Amino acid sequence: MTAAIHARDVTVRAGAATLVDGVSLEVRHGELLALVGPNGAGKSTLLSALSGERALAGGLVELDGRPLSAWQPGALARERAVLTQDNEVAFPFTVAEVVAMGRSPWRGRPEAERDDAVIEESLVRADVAHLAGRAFPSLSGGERARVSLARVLAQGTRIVMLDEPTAALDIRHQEEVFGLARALARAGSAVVVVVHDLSLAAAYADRIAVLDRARLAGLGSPREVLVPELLEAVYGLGVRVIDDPDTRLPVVLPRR
Amino acid sequence: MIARSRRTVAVGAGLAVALVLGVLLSAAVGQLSIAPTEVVGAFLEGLGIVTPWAPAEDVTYQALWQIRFPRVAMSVLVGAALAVAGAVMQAIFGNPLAEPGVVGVSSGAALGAAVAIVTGAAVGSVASLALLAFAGGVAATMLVYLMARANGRTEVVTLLLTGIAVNAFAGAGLALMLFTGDSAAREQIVFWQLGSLNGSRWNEVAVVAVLGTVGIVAALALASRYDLLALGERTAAHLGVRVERLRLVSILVVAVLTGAAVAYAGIIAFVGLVVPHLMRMALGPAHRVLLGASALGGAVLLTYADVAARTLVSGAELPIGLLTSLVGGPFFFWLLRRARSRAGGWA
Repeated sequence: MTAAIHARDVTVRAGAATLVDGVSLEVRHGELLALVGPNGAGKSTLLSALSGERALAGGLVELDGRPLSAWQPGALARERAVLTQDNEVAFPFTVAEVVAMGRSPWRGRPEAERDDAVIEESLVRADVAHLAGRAFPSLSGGERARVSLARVLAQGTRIVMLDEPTAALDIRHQEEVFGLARALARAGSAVVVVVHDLSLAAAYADRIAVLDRARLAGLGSPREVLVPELLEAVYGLGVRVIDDPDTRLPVVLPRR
Repeated sequence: MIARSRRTVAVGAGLAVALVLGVLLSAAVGQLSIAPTEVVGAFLEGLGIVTPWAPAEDVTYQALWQIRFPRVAMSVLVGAALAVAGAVMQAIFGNPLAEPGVVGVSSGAALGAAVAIVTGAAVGSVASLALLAFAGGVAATMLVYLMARANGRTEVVTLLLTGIAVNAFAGAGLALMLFTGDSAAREQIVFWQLGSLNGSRWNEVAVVAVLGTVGIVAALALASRYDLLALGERTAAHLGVRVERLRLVSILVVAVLTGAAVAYAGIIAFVGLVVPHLMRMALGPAHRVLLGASALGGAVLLTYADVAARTLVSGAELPIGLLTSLVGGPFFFWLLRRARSRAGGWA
């Protein structure tokens, strides 16, 4: 089966700096991959390279077996959705209008008939249905993040890329967002999430990719990757990895 | 949502009624006072429909069709063009303070027109004047766009400072044209700087009508993409919008609309700021409705402003640009204060 995302030797440069250096990975449909690593390791840059936003200095990215350069912008928007970190809206659009914008790639196609149902469902899944009539600029940071997530859900794509969707959220909403991401994966989407919280990644991701100074330092199941030796080398901090008493999944704690 | 669409219909109907009344009023008042029934009668007579309302004297008919009607038509077209140009600029800059007059696009276009007049390029051709006004508008818009944008967004301070620079440069150019031109050209340039609808002719109206229609239709066609642009250019791109191309086309649209308005009416500032803003407050920011309502609202505003310009001082005519700036200046202050208190600084 063709991988949803296939990256080979992906390299991104900005001036003299190499932001992503020869990263290869695959994400299959039905899989949730977490991208972790220290600040400045190149997680967001790698994500923007996978999404087609940033030009590659080397290597190749294929979505569904087709190189990014072969995708038309409209078709690409029906195949993959991206949640960026900056969730600003320039004018006082309502939450419902913002989420409806996620349906714009489907305009004029048979799928557009389901627009209203999809928008409604997305509002509920992101727990923002009660905000539908509010103006986006009047929302708190966490509410904005969830509304933007609802917009991404409404886009209804088989590939979903989320850049730190939980950065502004309380722990309940963090769990809900990752639960949602995993539900998307179980329903057949390929989901890539950039996240800082290693325990959160361990609890929900099928596989974890660890980036360190622009390179891939580890790739595998949470159990394989979240080991003290690797994490201490990457983060420069002593860590303890223990098992969650209930789920038996690794939990990462700094040694204090 | 239902409340908003009902509101859209109500505001649209209100503006349409106001426009019809304004057009009637504008055609009726002036040195020669004409009854509204005679205005309607003369209009229908011109279309070949003779009614009992047709004016008794030929001089009334001639005054209406040769002086008043082209002027009224010009005010409607220029108002619509400027308001839509303002709404489009605000959409592509993602900033409610962008406006052709404020950021210097209008003066760029006026400089182009002044060059046409002084070098004689405009002699015998109303189109060449519009062409140079358009070129000046494109140049100024491009300059503002390149200067004021950094990392995909436009800061208010940078935008306004760029406007100062562009206005200063265009002002110098206009002064040079004043200096080199003969007295007839000078008079015309001075009128541009003040803005006036006086002496509008049908062939000029035709040029503005064509350019204005092209620009407004193009803007409406891009409306849904402007909505997506409000999410930021990265997200808009992820939703399938070719952002750079959209911006480039929009700059041409702004230049066409502003060039058309400025070529014969001069600099009439703040219409593109005040009208879209009021429409956004009344109807929300969705661009399809906003652009349509702005066209209508701009036409209404300028029609009444022209009536006021002709009647406020008896025996003389105020420049219409003076009037719009008189109202627009304080409005701009208010917007600035509000933007500052909301954003907590000059963001």
